[in-house]
Amino acid sequence: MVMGVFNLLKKIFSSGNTRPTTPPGPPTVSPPPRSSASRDEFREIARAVSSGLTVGVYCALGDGHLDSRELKLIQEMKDNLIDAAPADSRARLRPLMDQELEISIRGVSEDRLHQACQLHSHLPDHFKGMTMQLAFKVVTADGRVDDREMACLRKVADLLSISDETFRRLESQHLEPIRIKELTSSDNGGDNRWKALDIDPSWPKERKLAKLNDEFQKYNARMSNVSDQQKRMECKRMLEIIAELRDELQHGPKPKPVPKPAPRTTEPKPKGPPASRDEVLVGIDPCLSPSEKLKLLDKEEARWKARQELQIAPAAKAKCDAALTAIGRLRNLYRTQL
Amino acid sequence: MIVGTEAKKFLGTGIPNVFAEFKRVIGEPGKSWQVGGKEITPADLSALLLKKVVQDYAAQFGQPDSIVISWPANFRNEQREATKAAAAKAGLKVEYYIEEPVAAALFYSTQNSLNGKYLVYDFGGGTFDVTLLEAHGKEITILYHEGVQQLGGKDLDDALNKLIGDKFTTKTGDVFDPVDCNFTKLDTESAKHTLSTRDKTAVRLVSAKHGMVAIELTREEFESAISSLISQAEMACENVLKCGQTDPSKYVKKSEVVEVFMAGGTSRVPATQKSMERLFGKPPKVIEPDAAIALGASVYSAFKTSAGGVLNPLQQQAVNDVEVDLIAPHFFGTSVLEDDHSSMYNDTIIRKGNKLPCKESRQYGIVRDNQDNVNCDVTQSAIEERNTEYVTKIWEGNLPLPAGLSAGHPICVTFAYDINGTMNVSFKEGECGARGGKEVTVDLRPGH
Repeated sequence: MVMGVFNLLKKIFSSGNTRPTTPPGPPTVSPPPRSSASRDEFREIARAVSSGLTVGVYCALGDGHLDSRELKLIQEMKDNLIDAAPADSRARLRPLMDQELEISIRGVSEDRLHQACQLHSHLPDHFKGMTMQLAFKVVTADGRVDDREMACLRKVADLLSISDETFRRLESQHLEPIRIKELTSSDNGGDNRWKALDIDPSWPKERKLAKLNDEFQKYNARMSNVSDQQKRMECKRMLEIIAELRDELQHGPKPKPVPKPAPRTTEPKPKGPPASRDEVLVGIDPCLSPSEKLKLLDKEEARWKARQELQIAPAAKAKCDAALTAIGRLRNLYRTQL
Repeated sequence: MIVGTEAKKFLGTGIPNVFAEFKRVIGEPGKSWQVGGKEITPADLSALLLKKVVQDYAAQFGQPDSIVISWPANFRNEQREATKAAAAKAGLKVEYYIEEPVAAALFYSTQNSLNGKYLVYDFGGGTFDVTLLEAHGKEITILYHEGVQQLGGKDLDDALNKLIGDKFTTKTGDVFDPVDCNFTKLDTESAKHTLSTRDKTAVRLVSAKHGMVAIELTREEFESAISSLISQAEMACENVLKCGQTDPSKYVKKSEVVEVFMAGGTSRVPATQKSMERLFGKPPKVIEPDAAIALGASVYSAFKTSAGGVLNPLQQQAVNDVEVDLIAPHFFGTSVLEDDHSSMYNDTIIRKGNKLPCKESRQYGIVRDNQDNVNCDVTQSAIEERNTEYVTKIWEGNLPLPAGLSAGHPICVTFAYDINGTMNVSFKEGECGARGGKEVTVDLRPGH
């Protein structure tokens, strides 16, 4: 590719590199449209601009197949890049970029990946960040990340000379939600809980406790800030998991309660005298003495009356009436037992 | 309208229009209920409650001289504003708002002379707050606070209910249905209160299917059921000692905490007191935990209105020299594009813990030549958070720009937080300190 093409590319897709307050996205074109480039030059431009898409496809194919969600993301990126080009260049760029993408979808060789990453050095700096972001988005699009995909991401980061700090930031941004979802949506126990919190189970106790405190602070803050109900529940579950781990560290693992269901073949027989229908309805323990029962009846009567005064459904009102009638009957009965 | 203990009897009975724990969700967007075809928000319910409290007081003692409302220290901006709106809706003229831990500390300061760093552990019915403060006499400086919004006595009740349910299932083989067993939330609370003073208790469930089922509960079982909840409170206590610092050498040491003051009804649960003793190596102070905040708020009110001659000389002496230094309750910032354009990040401008009043300015640059506007926002978070997904946007707007600006042209963002807890924010075209330039200012009260 001749130097002139790179200069043209830089001009077409350049932007300010200060700390801006506007949202991200492909920068708009700053110089006036330059559509005087030749067809060959345009092909080179399309190849260079598509290099990010090539990297995206490489990562998407990391787990062996290109998912429809992954392809959608790559196509969206392609459309954004085309939209960012001068209006009179878009029509010429689109078929060329489509062609580049089709070639990539057939398979991205190691050579093609290296070339794509090398082309980034001729593009404005922020293209690297955009490509790395795309790679993470593509890999996490199906809600799972395996070791092969992680290896792809690391390789791409190396080839694009992405700093460790940026890689860690993107990793936390894209992979953490997946790990949390995995942990909170199933009964994952053991080392998985430590792993999801980025804690090495072999760490000394004090270090683990300190990290648990940090993680608690993080998820507690997130719970107040996320509005999505599911994410909120995930945060709440993370807080519980962290508290359980801390509890286990300090007081040893809790014995899991062994459910002891009663035999279903025979109805359990309550001890003591059986409760009458009226007593069941009102909630009077038949084991109590008559004077205790009478005291309880007074309380229950007040409660049912208060309930009756409310604007409640007819069925509930009928239950109140029945309970109050039962209270009258029981009161007469207990008085005779005094 | 029925409020308080009488109203609690109807909780969980299936009777409609019974509300509880709405303080937890006050100010939350979209949170509302339909009552008689009308939409009721947590702020509306708070307004009804406030009105009733003042009416009841007036019936007994006449109209109050002044009204002070307290709120948790970790209440977010929208929660504070919703509380103010509820008071206004109730027709109350509120003189002052006070943070609950400050009120608790003021109450404890009337019991002892304070000198050093203290921790206020406030475990209420719906929320948990912990505040580290420094007090010398009645000069109180808030150093830092933490809170767990979804942790309160209600969660302890839920844990106890689960324990009862498990035992019921073990005994009967059936799932525990509180309605079938005529077992209300008041019964759960009653069992919890008994276990706070005795080692064991029994609840009698009267089930239509199984008849009488007696469940024995021990304090040990209850404490085991709530241990992870107590652990959450302990972590918040350890985190408050960090005072927002990342360097461990700057953390406040546990040994520096002179005393732990406990407030909120849940502080009566022995497990909470034992936990504080274990953590700080000394028993905490527990005096009237249910009323400590209300009493402290009244001390504050008395102090503030004392100029009007409300107090007699003795009372005046008791509240003399009260001085409270407050801090910014959250991190406030704005969304900014990463240098490598890979994504947006949240840039903190006012840090939680900054003494009030405070004002901070920061300069950014526009992205491209001839940019005609800038998207602006104000974010809020409980920790210094870079990820924009985990911050709350409390305002979003747009700053129009004049034509012909080059990429990198400065935009000055200024955040100011005053002593009354009101935030003022401005986004201005041009360098910080320079005059002129287009500007957009932000009013963060609801409805503005």
